[in-house]
Amino acid sequence: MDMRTSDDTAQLYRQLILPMEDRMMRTVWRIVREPEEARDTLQDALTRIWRKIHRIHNHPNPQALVLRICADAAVDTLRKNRKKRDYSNPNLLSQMADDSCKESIERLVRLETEAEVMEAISRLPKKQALAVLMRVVQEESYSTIASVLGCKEATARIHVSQGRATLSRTLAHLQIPFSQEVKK
Amino acid sequence: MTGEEKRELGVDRLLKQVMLDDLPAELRVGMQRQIRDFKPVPQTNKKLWLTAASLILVVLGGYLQMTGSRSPLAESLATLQTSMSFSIEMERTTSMACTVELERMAGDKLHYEIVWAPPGKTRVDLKAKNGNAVQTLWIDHNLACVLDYADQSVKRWTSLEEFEHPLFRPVMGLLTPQRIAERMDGRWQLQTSKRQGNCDVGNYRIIHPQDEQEIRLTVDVCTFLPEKIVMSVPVTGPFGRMDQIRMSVLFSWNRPIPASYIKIPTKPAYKKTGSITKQTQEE
Repeated sequence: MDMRTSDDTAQLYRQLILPMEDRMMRTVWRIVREPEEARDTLQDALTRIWRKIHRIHNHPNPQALVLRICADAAVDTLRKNRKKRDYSNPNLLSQMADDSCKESIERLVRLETEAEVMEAISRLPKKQALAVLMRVVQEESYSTIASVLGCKEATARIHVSQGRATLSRTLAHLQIPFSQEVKK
Repeated sequence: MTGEEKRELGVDRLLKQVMLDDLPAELRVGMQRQIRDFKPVPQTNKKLWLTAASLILVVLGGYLQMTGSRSPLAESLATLQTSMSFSIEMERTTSMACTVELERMAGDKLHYEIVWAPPGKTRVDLKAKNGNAVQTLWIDHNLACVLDYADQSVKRWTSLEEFEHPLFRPVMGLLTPQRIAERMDGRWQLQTSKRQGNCDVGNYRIIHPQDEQEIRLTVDVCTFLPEKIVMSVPVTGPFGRMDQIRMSVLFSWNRPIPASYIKIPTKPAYKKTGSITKQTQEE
């Protein structure tokens, strides 16, 4: 019988989590981008990790699975916040029409862009969102993505591709065409 | 480069621009402390393990039905006597009180005190560590309600059949002597016997033939009433993690119970329509 104690769990937690705490924090922060929300998200992720620690330990790629759990919790935060935020009037620039301060305008443009991107990610199917974030933000290989999503590598590629395609359509107005960038 | 590849690069670049790797130093310190000092909330799986614990009594009944064959030991007089129906003696009782301890291997504990008085009143106190009741389940014949001491509220009376409360689910099989007897009837194997006062006290057990889980029962052989039941059951927690729940029940029988202790604070009025209201008790 598998009789695991809380001491075993705590030991595994320390062995597995402490060496990769930096990557975990950065993963959560890069997706959530709001300090209080990031801390809440990290707490949520740690709770999930603690519950699954033995399964994670036995996984062929435990580090990637931990990062997937962090990204998963972060996407959940985005989705939860989508319901709270008022996106009906996302044009923050209009509120600053008279503001001549370049820095303020740039900041607002950035916030607006960030909000739109996060909104678009939160609307993706969960696996597509995770696959895109793991590929683009965490720069994981397709085989790693497949192993933590529990699918074949080809399926992982499809998730990333479909997620990118949806984001590309949704966020087309925010992207500088690649051809223009090359010309520069 | 194909159009698709260009679009992909555009999206990737946009995501990287937005999701900058710029974790603020102050937040990093806070999050680091959060990771290193992380303590799981003990109540996280409370509902799940309570559900599992509620199965213990069902399992108990199941074990008893499965153990049909009699061993050579069972030929002893004591075993023959205790293999009789407990219900005969239990139906004669004038009161029943028991304390129930539920303990999970991970450390969570729940403590209940149950008092039953005929014809059909039961009080179940869920106790905090300091011994004070946190919630009380009142049962009056076929109606049940819960008194929550935190907000001094009496929840709506409901029929006992429909009553569903996660915190009281584990002890629903111990509310009356009849319910207990239904789960105890079966063949037990005598392990030890010793004299206590004028009566023998026998320790019996049933071992499940497949997983060797054991249920221990201590019976006063004079009265054929149980004194103690101890059993532990393995349960599968979330994500396949194994856990163990130990249940210990200590009984006392036929002792006088003060009327005030069993006085129900509200009186149910059950309407034919099925809706239930509460009234102030006028006793």
